[in-house]
Amino acid sequence: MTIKMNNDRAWLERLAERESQGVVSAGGWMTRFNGPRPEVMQVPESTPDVEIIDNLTKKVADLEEWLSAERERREAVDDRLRDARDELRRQSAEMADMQKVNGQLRGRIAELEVRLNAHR
Amino acid sequence: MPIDVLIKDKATGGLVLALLVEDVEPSEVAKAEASWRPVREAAVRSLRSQGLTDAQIAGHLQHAHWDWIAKTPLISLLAFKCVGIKYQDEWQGLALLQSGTKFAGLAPDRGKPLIYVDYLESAPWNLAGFVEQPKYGLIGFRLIEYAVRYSQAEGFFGRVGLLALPQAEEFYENGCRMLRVDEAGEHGMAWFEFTREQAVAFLGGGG
Repeated sequence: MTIKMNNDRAWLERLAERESQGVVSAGGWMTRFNGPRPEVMQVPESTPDVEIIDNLTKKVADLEEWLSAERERREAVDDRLRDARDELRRQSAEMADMQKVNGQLRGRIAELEVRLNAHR
Repeated sequence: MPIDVLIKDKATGGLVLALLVEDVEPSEVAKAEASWRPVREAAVRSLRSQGLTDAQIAGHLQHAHWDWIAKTPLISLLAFKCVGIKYQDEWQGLALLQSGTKFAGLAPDRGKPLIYVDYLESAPWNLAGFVEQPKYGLIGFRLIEYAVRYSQAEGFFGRVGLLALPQAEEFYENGCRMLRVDEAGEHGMAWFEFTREQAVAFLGGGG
């Protein structure tokens, strides 16, 4: 998928003009992930930068661990799917063989019935 | 491959070349949050020092509590895409998009899938509510433009929808000229939508 963006200056200047009239670009809220929108923000009076960075680093490490576990889980699911697909293929081949034998037997029975009728 | 995009340098008034990254990695999202959060929090403290209550501040800076780190587990999911604009090695804006998980409310494609803009944020130093002199402009427009083009690439004909915080309604309604769908709002937020016609008008400069 290749996406091309428009860098036409006249168009962008027109958009910039609209922006200069006071529009702000930020919006959206996902209740299912963030809970109800808070009435009051919980922003600490003062948080040292080092503490912020430590917290963020820990969150990133947690996420990487989660991603790694998720990747392993997906690989296990892929393995199970592959095994199930192989088993299905094997059973389909067996069924095809049985249908072939079944067809041959039906043909043979029909021949015998014809011959039996002829003798009668 | 990052895509070249022009953004507005508000100090000079000129357009400068930035990079739009189509699949922003979780570690990069964390970097953006690490650089944005102190600016958001400084703005909140400044308003507090001016005597505003937390409820009043929440009304002024409605997304000051956003945490992009909390959104990173979503990025690896098939339906999600995180795009961002980088200039001078700093993230100037991010958008979290969902493909085909929400549906159009407007004719002629009512009920058909669209690109849903889950979150869109310009760096706080680009927003007048957070700083006195915003640095770069057009960030939101470029991210919305990407959402429209992504929608076209996905076969959704440019259909895009989103729920806007009240502070951002002006941007989507009069800036992007998206259509408000009254009955589709949720959680006290209005639903805005690009139909295929509005999307073409927006990209063509008529919208």
